[in-house]
Amino acid sequence: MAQAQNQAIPKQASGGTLSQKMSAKINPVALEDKELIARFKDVDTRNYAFNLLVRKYQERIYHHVRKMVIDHDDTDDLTQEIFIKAWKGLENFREESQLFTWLYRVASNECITFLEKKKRRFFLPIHDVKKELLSKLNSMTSNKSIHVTGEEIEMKLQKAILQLPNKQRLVFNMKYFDDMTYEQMSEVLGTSVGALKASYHHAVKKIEESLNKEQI
Amino acid sequence: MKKQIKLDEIDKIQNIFDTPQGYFDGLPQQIQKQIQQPQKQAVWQLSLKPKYALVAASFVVLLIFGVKFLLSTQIDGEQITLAEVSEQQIRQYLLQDGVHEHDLMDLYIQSTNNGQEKSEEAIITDEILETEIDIDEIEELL
Repeated sequence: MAQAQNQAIPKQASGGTLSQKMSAKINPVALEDKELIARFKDVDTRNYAFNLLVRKYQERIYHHVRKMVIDHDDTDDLTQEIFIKAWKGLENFREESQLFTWLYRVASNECITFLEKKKRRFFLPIHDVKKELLSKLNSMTSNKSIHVTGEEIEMKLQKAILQLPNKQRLVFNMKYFDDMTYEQMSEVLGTSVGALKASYHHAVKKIEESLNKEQI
Repeated sequence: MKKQIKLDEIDKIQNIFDTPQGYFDGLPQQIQKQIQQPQKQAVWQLSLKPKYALVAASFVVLLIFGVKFLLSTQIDGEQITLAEVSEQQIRQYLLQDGVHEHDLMDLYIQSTNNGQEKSEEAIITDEILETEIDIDEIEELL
């Protein structure tokens, strides 16, 4: 009887790793961060928990980075680097801040470092990283196959955002696109709420000016 | 004139960036792969970073200059030490060490002359050495 039952089980169900089987059942987005961290700290479920963590946050982190560095390949490299850093640092994560703000902090630092490095790589002042990013954006719009969608106003907004300093771009993106609170942004950037409010206000003014200038 | 755009008055502008199809399905595996071989890559990256190369190069240059400086000060030190030894002390040392009398005589002549003209006594000694002493006799003495 038992033998007959075993034969009835489809082969697919017995194959695959434990994490594959479990991740098929659990929706990573629904899983609480605390639970994810607890599972990560347990050596037996570490890989599985990290896989869920990546699945839960990969899109948010990717888009946060993409808005900063524009290019998909650069974003891909940075996103992988960010999650590798998260893997290394998560064991010592003390849960004083939220997991997603901690990941955003790692991501924001990586973006700033990447852009600074890019700037330093070219010693001549003629080379402007902002111009490079803008030309990338333009080439993406002219070649629609390179992973960019968007109407005219959306593209204009992106070009206007590129005129802002890097840290102000981060502030604007987190507030406008990701709907983060100033308190969360403060955790990410280590800047006071007041300074962030002022920074966002100035960013909006600059962007509106830029959009209206183009309209005339 | 067109109406001025105010960000909070218009519909929220959406993010324009898209990803290749299926990108997020493969990303966790890509990251897992990288996590499994981190150390090898870290060493390779360290050797490539110009920042570290510059530090290493500066260190080597400093090391070379440091060694050169140390060697030169050592030589100076030796020279100063020899200059401080008096001639009398040198003579005493040579006598104790069994140095031949002729050599001591040379040293004496050199020290008494010290860049000046030879004294009468020295000239006479030279003459005696040149004329009166036979080379065969010296060989016998030796």
